[in-house]
Amino acid sequence: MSFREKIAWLMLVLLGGAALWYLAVLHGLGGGAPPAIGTLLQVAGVLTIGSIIGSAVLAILARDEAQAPADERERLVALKAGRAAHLTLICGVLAALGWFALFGSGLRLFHFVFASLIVAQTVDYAAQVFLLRRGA
Amino acid sequence: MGKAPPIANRVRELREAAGGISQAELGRVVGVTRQTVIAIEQNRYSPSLETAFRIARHFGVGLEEVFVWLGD
Repeated sequence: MSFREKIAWLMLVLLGGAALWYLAVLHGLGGGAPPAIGTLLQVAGVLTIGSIIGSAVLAILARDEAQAPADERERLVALKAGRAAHLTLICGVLAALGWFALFGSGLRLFHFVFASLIVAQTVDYAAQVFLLRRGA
Repeated sequence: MGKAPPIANRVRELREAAGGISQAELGRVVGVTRQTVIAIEQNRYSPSLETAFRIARHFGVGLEEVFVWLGD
């Protein structure tokens, strides 16, 4: 498994965990609850620290690969995965705006957009793993 | 799984004929990762024209001796 695939797996796991954590907190607060800013900051902090530590450990374990620039296939994979994430984000934001236009719930709008960000990033890393394994 | 590109190649065969140069070494010489060399050999990825030329030049053969078009 290449260094970049390991990084993508790490981010997938971290993002999945962060999303579940935030969803669990939201569920506990009730569907129409205001944004849990404290939890959001905690999630962002854990995600950031986790990705820094995880990336550093992976880079130490594969120093040469970590220092090498992405090759042509890895750049192509990143482009394709980024496009899939971009489309996901657009769909999520459009759905959020549609919901807001129909029902006028700003809280739901916030949660929809936040969820779209998380899902889009997850799609990005999942697509990277898939394409790196498949061959791009 | 995606559709395989309509291009076959003899990279593994040439690599073995050239004294068994490793995938990592070939990748280093032509500027791609070992995983990309594996993907090329397994016909899961078609390299750029530049990389294709670099591979052919490394083995001292023409491009068409390495890559063969299989489509119509």
